[in-house]
Amino acid sequence: MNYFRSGILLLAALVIFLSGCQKDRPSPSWEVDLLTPLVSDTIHVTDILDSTFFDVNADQTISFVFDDELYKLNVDSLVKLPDTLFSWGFGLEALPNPITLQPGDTIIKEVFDWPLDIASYDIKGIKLVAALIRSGAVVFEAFDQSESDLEVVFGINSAVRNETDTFLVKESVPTFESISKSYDVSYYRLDLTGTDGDTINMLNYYLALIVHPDEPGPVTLFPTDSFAVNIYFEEIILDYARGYFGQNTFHFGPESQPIDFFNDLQIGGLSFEQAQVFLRFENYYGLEANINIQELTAINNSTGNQKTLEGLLVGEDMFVPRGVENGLESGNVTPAITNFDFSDSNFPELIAVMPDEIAYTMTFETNVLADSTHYNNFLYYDFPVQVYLQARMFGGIRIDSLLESSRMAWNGEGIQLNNVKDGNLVLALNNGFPFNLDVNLYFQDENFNNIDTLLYKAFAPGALLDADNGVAEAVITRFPIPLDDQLRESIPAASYIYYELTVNSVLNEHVVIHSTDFVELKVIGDFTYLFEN
Amino acid sequence: MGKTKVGIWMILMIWAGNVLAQMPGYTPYFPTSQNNAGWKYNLRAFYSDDANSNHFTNDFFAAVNSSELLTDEMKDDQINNLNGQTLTGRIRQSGLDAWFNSKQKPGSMFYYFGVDFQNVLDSQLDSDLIRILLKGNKPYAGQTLYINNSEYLNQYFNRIKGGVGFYFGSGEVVHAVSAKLALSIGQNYDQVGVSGSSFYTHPEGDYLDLSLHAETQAADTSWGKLTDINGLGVSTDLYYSIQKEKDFYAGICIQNLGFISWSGNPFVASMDSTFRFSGISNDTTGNQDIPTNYSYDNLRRLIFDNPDDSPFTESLPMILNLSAGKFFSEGKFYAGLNAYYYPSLISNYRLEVFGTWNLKDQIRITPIVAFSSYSKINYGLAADWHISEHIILRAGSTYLNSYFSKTAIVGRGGFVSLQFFF
Repeated sequence: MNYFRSGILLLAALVIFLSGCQKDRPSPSWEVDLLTPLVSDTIHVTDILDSTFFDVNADQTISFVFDDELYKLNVDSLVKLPDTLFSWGFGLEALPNPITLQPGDTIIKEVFDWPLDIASYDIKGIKLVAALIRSGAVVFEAFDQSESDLEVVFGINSAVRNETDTFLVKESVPTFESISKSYDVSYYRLDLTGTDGDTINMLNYYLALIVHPDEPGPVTLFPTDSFAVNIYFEEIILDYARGYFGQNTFHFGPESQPIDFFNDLQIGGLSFEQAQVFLRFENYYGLEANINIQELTAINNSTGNQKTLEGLLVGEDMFVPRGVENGLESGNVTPAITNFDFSDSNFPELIAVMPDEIAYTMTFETNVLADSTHYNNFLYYDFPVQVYLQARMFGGIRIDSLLESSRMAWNGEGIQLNNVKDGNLVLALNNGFPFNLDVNLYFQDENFNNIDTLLYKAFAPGALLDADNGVAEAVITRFPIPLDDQLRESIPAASYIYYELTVNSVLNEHVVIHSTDFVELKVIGDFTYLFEN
Repeated sequence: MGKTKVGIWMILMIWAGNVLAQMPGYTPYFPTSQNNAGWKYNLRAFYSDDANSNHFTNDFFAAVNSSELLTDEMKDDQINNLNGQTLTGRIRQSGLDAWFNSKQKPGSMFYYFGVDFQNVLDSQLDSDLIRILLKGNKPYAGQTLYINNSEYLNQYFNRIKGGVGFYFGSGEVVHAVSAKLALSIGQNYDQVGVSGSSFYTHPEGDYLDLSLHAETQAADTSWGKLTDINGLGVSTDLYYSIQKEKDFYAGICIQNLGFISWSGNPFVASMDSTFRFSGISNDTTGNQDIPTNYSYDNLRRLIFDNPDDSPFTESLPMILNLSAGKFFSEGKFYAGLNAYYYPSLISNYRLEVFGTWNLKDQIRITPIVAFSSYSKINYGLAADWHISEHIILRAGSTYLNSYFSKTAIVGRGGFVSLQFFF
């Protein structure tokens, strides 16, 4: 056998041997039609209705609940202190001859009671026995029409701070000049019962005029000399007052105040078929009163809509008992709570306006039982009369433009889109809400920026309703989203699917909501996929 | 025969054998003279491949193994062929054998060294499983697909072998025995079993209902290379034959009697679960993600989410071969029966009936009729060409009736060997 032949045979043997050593895994490819859910989210009606405003009843129906303060009666409206305490003048015309006094000699010194000039303002019959000043000042003016510099000492013996600190000030008044000084009197307690503690509206003062000790020598006062002192309260706000506050009728309004309740709801429209409505008065004042709502109007400044309250109690006096002070000046008050039923009124219509402002005119008549003997009326600045609106809507509800949004995680990175030949993403929306939905669907990046709009204002009809206008059967709507070039780019780039649902009642009907109502969103992949092993 | 000889016999029966070439120069289709007096060195390279199925077509099988795109037409044709469980199997072997016989006289012991490379694929797939694999789930939305008794096993391993053998006997009857001990080196082991499972797709894809009862064992799921070592074990091949010159032959051999302990990236898991998949929920952000990779291995890891990475031990796919035949016309014609039994495989037997014409001493032709677990009859031909006094080329195939038809059910393969002896 020659070498050539041997070589050929050896090569053949190697080919035979090596042909069995090829061990790559076969990797065929083929297209498969895949239909599979990818991501899903379920929203229950209780998720979109703020639990602050909605409540689940025993039969699983949901009621809209409104419990919010409408008005707070200001303490300044009930009791005030007069601005002027007293004006006092002193002349020496009675002197037969000029007199000579040494530095430091007292010209005059007086301790005296002086009543508050309650009659100076229009609140009648106020008989105060005690008050605590929350803030404000006493203004002290002194006039010196003499040859001597004066030292004026002024005190209010009835004003004590921290139980020991009696109000007392001392000022110098140069000859033939005047001064005006202001002193903070915050937190001073006023005892308005006078020196003997048996009267009302009375403060006790101390006043002294002294030849200024710094005068270089004796000074002479002449019959033509005179002195004057004026004392004022300035911007006094009472923190507490006790006594008898008189029988007065206070008028409030027409005035208005903003209401942000519906801003918090983030809802476009709302109305109800039935409502149970109460006005609740919480009276922390130590006096009984009649409250009369003469007019109450709900105003929506955005839409221009407004509605005025109508009902049997409108314009009628509503008696509110007095609160109870648990210990004099203790700051502990048990309010008298009184509810007035406005269910026969048109309050649902006022709510349907979705007001951002409430305008009202009302009166507040105090001490209607006319018991003025015990001086046991009281008020605390921090505890006024509070008026609440309590409404519970049941039966049907109509909601317009309630916005709900959420996002679902989307792990798009790494999806082998090259292997997806064609197909659709499908949003399957199983609507078990008694509301129509307008759906916006977006892909978002990791920073929640929209990078692709998959659906915009896609309409999904609400569930089929039963005879009671509750949900009888959910309705599924499917929105195919073709796999176009843009979607191929956004699928791997997306980190989230973000959706917005705008909720509107079906056919503007009043519908009954149950806590079990839900919407299920599901993104389904319907693809032809090239499977490569 | 004394007790000692019986004992030796028993040991040798347990310790000896080969399928194709346990002994130098051996062929089941024409057993040649059983002695070792005429050679000192005997070398052989061989390759054999048997691929079978009862439903898959040649065209489909070739496309899969050639890593081609399976067209819709091809898939549809294949699905139309389905009728019950689909069996598929493939046994590929190649190797180098070397025998050394220093004494060159009858009865003397000879020695063996060699290597072989084996790939054994064995599967039984439910029709619904094939449908969903080939077409996806969408065409079957609204239907429940049931998957029962499906099994897939594919393994690659190499062996480095050493052994001894000798002839003995008196007169015209010669006995031959040999035994080999092999270091078995595993490259890849991949097994998945599914039973009693079902799959339902909502008509619009809203959810998938899956009832899955499955188990898997795998090593080196990334697919082993020839040089990778992902498992080690030992095995033995045993052979015994008796032959009377130009009269009869009978032999038995056992191959791959042993095991491999698979330790390279082992993945052992089972699943017994029924669940509804409705999409990854926004409420359960845990570890759920949209699969980004639908490759075979990734899907395995998605389905079996709690694997055990402990090594596991599996027996090698043992092959038991019985061969017997009768010579006629002074040895010019040999008719016989060749039977294979694969106890660990689903498709576990193969029978061949053949007749060999010794046209002249250099060329022998063997028509073969074969029947197997795949429930079909195949025809083929083998040839034995003594190229020279020291070189034999053997080749053949039992699938000539189906090999060249694209639409025929898979029956492909053959063998070739080149042998030198001096």
